[in-house]
Amino acid sequence: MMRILMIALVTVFASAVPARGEDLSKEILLSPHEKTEARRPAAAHGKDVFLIVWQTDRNEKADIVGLRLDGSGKPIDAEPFVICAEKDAQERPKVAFGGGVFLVVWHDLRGEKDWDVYAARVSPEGKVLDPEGIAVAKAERNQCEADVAWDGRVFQVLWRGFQGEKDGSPGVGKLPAAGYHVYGGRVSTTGQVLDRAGVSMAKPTGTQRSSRSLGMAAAVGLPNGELLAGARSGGTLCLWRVRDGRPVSEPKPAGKRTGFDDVAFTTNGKTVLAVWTTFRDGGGRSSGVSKSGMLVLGADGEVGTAAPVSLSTTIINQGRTHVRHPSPAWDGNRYVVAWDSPMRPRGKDTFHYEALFMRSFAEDGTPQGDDVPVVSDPDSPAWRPAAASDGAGMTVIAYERHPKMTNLPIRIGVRTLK
Amino acid sequence: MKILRVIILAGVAAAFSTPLRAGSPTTERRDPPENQTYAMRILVWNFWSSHCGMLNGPAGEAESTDLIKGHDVDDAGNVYWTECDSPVIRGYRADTDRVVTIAGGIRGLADGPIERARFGGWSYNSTSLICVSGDGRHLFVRDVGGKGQWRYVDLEKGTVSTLGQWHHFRGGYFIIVKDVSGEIYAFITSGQDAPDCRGYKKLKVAPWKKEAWYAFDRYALDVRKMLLYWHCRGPTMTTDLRTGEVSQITAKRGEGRSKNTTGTIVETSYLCPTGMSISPAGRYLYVGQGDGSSCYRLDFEKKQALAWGGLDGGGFGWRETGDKNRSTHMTGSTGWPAATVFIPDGRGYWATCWALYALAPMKGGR
Repeated sequence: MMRILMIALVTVFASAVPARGEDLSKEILLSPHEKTEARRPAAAHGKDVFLIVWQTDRNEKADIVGLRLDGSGKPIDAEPFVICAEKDAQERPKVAFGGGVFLVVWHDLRGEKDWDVYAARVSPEGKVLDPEGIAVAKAERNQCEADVAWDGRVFQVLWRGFQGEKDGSPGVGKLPAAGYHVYGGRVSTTGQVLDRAGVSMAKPTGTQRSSRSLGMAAAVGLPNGELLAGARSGGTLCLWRVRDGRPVSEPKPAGKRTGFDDVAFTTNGKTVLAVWTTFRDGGGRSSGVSKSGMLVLGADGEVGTAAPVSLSTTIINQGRTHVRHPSPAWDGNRYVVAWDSPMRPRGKDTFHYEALFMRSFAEDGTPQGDDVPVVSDPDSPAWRPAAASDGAGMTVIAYERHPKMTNLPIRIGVRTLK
Repeated sequence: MKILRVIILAGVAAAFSTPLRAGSPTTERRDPPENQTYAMRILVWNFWSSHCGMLNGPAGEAESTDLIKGHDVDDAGNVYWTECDSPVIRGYRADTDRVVTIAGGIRGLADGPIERARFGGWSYNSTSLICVSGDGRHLFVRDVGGKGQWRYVDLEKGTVSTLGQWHHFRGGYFIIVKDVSGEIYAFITSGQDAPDCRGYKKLKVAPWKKEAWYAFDRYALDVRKMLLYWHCRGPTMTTDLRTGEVSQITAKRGEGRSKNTTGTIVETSYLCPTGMSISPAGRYLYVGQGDGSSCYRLDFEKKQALAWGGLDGGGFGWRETGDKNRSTHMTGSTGWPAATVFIPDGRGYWATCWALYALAPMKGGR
């Protein structure tokens, strides 16, 4: 009875945002975990279950929790279940499905000294198979900001690893040579770490400070058993391929100043869609607005003649298009991409607020309509969407929903799209 | 009074999860020795990583989202700052040697608990003023969103509130500034009263006789002398708060000596001044020097300006820079440096476009 009541309670929070031209469901707000804040959701689909994972709170109080939705997007679990609540911070979860299980990855400060990458398998039935977490990368210095993809046989985990002088006093006239490289390691469906030492995936190559550290990496499985991986280097998205846990191509830039960060991929087996954040306000040489935001590649992941194109049609925020934190999914018929963007309300104060949008594309990248608002409420903003699809027409978009009244916790909002 | 101070400091320490490390707050306010040499250590990198670049965790490997726009330090060495393109206040905890998120998270204007409060954020071409009381209990930040609202972060209670607009407020500019004593003071340049707030003391000032040209970029206060130091991307100015008289103490750009060189205070001119802070006992004023240069130390006792840089004998410190060596001995391109901020125990903190540094006094000095 209590369970039914809880499910009923979480389903009554309906969003007033009308969907334009898309069959978006009403909003569901997922139950918080013990009144904690819900941040940075990630989502994946497998065995007719959508698993939404997120970070509770932040700093040393941060833990990782999850909640399952059924194939129609309704909560299966009345309350989130704990995936990792070890001592100190566990942050920034990502999730993928393959071989009958979900693999959730995150970075972890339980060692107290620096970030390490941990993972845990979660069954579609909601059982956490590795309650203490699997140490994927525990070397000296930071291993952090992990992502995970399924290559058809095993999970490939990618992370940023700090290299170079950490504490040294900088030399006269120069800074210490240090920055983040991208590393990888595979995890089997039985929870075995196959590359204990971590494999160097990509190094920064530029001479400018901005390109001496790589951004957060992401990957997607290709039909040939390889993975396509990518990360920001300077202001450019760089792509490379991975086979059996090893890079098999050098990072290649996908155009000039194509993106700044938050790269994400999805595929339908025939084409691959890459998306990224298009804006930064660094001022001067480091600032910029990319008018692109997406790139469609062939199934082999080769850049070839593919050119970045515009993801969003909405000209917002003083005429500039800002796409941030884009998250793509293939729903069986089309690509769906959700993102957030800062908006400025008319006739009110001039404070920006974060709003959520989505847009659909054919497999060759042809747009199917314009941007559609998912959540746009100055008093209750939303951001950091995570999209996942069942490949049969159903897509779930999960996101941080900030409360109208700040005496209520930040929660995870969900809207589904058929 | 001393007992009260001890109680306050104990409260601050209790707010953190572990006891403060060596270098706990001291009540004695001394200026750093004139010829002190420092070792520099990076606390936070700026790799221009943009949105995923906001990485907390161990100092020395943490990242800022983008440029650090302004920073201040409490007497225990806890650093607080704002960044471009990120509506949060971040901090370095001296007790754990870690970087954390202090307040905010998403754009907007919403008061309440620090985890959910929303800030408009800070952009490259806007100035962020931030000050924290020496006891680490009260933090004030000028939010760039909207029309520039002063936001009060009560670090003791964990709440954020909005105080008012920083300009066109009660007939003048609403100034909130940290004094050399570590106390925060507030006043209105029109001479009217500042709004009530438990985080600062209200200062009664004479109406200013000359208004700032368009904005105060940075300022520093010596309340014993009732002097406010300030600039608006030009020469360093002072206002005598008892009379409202405004004076210029350095040369205008293009006047005085060559830009980016040091010497007497009155002949010093800046290429692009940025941050400003004052030493714990008020002898030195620090002015960040933008666009590829350094930070200047104005010595009111010797009436001399020196620049921060690498020293021939090793370490870093204050030195003359002339036409021939003005671009050498610096710590890389500094872009938009804030001013160095020194705390009473002698440690310093400096933010440039590349990194936030901790400056540890070296034994022996020069």
